[in-house]
Amino acid sequence: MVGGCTLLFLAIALLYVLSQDPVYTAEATLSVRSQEEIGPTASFDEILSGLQDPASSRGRLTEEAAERAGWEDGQADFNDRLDWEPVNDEEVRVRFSASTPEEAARAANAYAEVFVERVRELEGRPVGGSVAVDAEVERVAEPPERRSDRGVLLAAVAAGVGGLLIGGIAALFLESRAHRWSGSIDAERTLRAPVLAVIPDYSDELPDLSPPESEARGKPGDELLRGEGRRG
Amino acid sequence: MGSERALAEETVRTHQLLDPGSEVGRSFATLVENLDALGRPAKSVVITGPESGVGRTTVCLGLGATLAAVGRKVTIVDCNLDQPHLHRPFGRPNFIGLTSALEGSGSLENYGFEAAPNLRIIPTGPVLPGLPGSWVLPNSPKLVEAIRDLGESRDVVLLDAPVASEVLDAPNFWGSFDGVLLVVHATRTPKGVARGFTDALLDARINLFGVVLNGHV
Repeated sequence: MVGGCTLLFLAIALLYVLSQDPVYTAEATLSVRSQEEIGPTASFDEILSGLQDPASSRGRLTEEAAERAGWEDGQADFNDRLDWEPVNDEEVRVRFSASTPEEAARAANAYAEVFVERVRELEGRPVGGSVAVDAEVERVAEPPERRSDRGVLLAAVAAGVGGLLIGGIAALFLESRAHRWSGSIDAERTLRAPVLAVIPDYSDELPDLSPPESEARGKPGDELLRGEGRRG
Repeated sequence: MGSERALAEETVRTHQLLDPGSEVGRSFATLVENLDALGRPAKSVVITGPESGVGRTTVCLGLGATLAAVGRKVTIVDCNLDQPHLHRPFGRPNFIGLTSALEGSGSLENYGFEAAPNLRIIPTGPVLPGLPGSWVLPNSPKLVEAIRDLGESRDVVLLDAPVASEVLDAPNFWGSFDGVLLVVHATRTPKGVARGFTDALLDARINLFGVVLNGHV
């Protein structure tokens, strides 16, 4: 039962994963360096934030990157698939996830190129506490050879755990049903024999048999068999 | 302390079974009515179950007490040689009983004790170590003869028999008595196991009076 449910859930998870678009993630690396500092040193995040500020450049980076990559599924979708993070004080990693390797690489490179162009446009203007920054694409994104989504593994684990849980509960339920007789009709249908009597569980009717009282009176239950105890 | 308490509870349960006015006693009255309604009165009944712990002894005592309360002379014979039990709730030793009667002479009736008016209990008696299985004696013609003799002086003989698989292995035994009552427990007995045994009992052409559903909640 448990194995069956687990296999069923795994099969459902497999169908789900197969019905989903694959995900490929391409990665480009940018280097961004401050050329001359005045005042307090700006952090890398501040420089990047400044570069992305619409007030400091013409339009948003991502909009131009999406246009250059030929992205047709909307700006919000492009933004969702784009991810960038600083690697160290001078490098930033740009990742883009798409359903084909080529699309992913194209979009990652488009963003990296637009980023570099914006930085160069800003040359000589203060950005994030620096008077100037220099940027270049250190490593161009290549179309990835493998899928990056972990959906199959996650779905398999979730299906396995879910199958074990649901299967275990179902097995317990069926096991209890297989042991529990609801009454004489149930018994007659199951056994194909007449039920001549249903004897109730009368354990609740037992009187208190706490040890001190029993010990005080001698052998447990003796008084009852002598007819001196509780009747009925 | 635990076994003492268990014995105390068992003793109280037995007392309730012997009280025809109790709620459980009324359920056994229904059993008596239904047995009587089957046709000719059952004088010798084999009481068995698909597995141990379903309440064969409970049904024997409850049925026996109810029959005795209406004036029928009843004897219950403990045939569970591997697990002698019937003497325990009465606080009786198992020094004499069925095995003593088969080895000695005289009526089987003389080897028991009176538990209540009209209700006589025959324990297993001493069981010698090394006896190959509990069902060797019941398979013997001597036992059948002894119980038939007992039927001459008693209105009803109830046999607290081993589990159904052992009863099925002893055709000489079950074929010699009026019929079989199968006890199943309402929360412990797997339905598939019970069904297998009723099918087997019917296939063996055993006269299955019917089923008693015990421990119903």
